[in-house]
Amino acid sequence: MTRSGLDLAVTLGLLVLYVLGIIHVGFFTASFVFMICQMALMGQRRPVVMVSVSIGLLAVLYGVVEVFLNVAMPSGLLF
Amino acid sequence: MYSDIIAALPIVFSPAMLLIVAAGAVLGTLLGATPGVSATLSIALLVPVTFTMDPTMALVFLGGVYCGAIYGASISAILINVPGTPSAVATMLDGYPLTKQGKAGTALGAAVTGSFIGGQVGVIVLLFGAPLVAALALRVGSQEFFWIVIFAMTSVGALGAGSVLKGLISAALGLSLGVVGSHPVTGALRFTGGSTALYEGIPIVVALVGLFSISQVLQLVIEPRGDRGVKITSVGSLWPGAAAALRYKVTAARSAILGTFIGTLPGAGADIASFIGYNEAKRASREPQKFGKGSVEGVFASETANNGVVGGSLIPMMTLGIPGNAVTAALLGGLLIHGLIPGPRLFEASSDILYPFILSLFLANLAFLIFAFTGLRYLARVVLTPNSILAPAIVVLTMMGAFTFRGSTTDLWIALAMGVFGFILTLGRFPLPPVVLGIILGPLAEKNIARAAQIASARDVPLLSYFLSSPISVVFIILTILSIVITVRREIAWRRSGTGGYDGFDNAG
Repeated sequence: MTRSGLDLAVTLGLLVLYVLGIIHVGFFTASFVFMICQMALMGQRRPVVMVSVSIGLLAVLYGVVEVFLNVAMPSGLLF
Repeated sequence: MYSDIIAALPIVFSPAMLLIVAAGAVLGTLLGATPGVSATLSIALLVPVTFTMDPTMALVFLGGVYCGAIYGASISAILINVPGTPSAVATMLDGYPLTKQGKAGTALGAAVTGSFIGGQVGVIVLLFGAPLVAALALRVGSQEFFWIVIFAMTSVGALGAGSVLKGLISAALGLSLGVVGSHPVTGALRFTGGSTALYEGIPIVVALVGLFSISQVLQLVIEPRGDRGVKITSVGSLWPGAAAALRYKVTAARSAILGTFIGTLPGAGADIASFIGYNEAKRASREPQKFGKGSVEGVFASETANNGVVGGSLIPMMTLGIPGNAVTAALLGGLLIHGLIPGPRLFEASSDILYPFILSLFLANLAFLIFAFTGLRYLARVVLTPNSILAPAIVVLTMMGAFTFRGSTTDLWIALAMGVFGFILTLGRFPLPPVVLGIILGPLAEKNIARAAQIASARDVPLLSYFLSSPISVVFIILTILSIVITVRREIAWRRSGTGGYDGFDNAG
């Protein structure tokens, strides 16, 4: 299998796990884990970038969901 | 109509609305400028943010995003030779050569001036044209409406880029997906697989985000990796570009009018408009030899045409409920969420929402113009966002949008499935916009033909002769046949030459 084929297969697997994670663990936790994994898969090598981008985006989304939308995202153990 | 406009003015110029317009236009510009995020995707990702806004505000916001995203695409086309949205492919031809000559600012200035002029002309046509079309459309009954929809579907194949056969196959796949759910008249359930989430059909917003964003993410995953190898040095002043662009008055008028007209056609989007605007400018230019080597006029022609599309494309979407391209399909999804059902009656029932919306588009164009001349130089680096950050972020936004639509976890799976489906289609070079149009227009066609059949049987005439009894239906039947003939002929020519005249295939919408 070529490298891009392998990347594709792993991404599809991650996407399925991510949806299962949203449903069973909670949206924000699952999103954080998914973003870190997908960034690493796509060649992002700087941990500071990975963590700060994930937390930054999720913080904005948390604000949007809580302030704007008043929708209860699926939540689980942590968030 | 004039009283509607005057009544709309205080709404549009309220501080909250001005803020929403500016936010939409700037956000649209930045998203449009990001390679990998098309105008369609920008709207699909931002529709969920509007769920709790009031309908006027939501529409104004999404309209601003539409204007901004079509303009924003030119920024990455000029600076790094990658179109932020397919609408800017023609802009690259001269924009990037200008950047290589150290005149990035000139190109950006010409692009934003053109986008502004084209955008304003389109909105003027929308403001005066839409009420006229809506008034005409009020006289249209179910059977006529059915044929208008069928005509729109066939012209999607005739006017799209690349293989027309593949365009029609995509449209047919979309129609098939549109069948899922309860029958519009009898209520019989079809292909729901027992899932209550599918009783009302595949939710349009969910299908849309899945189809465009997840497939785009998978596309980014298989793209060659690494630094694009480009750096953005100083952009420089935009004023020389704006001043140079203003010399091409004839080009401005031609591109703006062409763009607006092309926008009203079903199936033709901003990408085709920018190419036609560019080619026509080259043909009429006194210096055609400069095109492709860094002609300011080329950038100006392409960008004026593609922003003209914005106003034009909103006419059939708002007055008939028939979106002509993928961006307006996404916008239609946004309208439906707020209980606004586009169609001829919308202008009567909700003129208090529509007129503020149309007027706000003038301000949205002004907002990205001001932004380009002030804040752009600080934010132009957005075009360098690496795929490794972009792709995961798009997935998270998609899933949030899919879930918040109606709080159903089934929708997460639908979005994922649609994304994989879209990716497979893209691999086979099947265009995605006709799929979305099929999902939206299929139920519309079905509802109207079912009603027409009821009327025909009540009058005790065969359905076919009932169709032929209406002149409007006959006109659209002829147009449908013509568009199929053109489609077949173009396909044959396309097969013989190997490629079409314009191979602008790009599934980013």
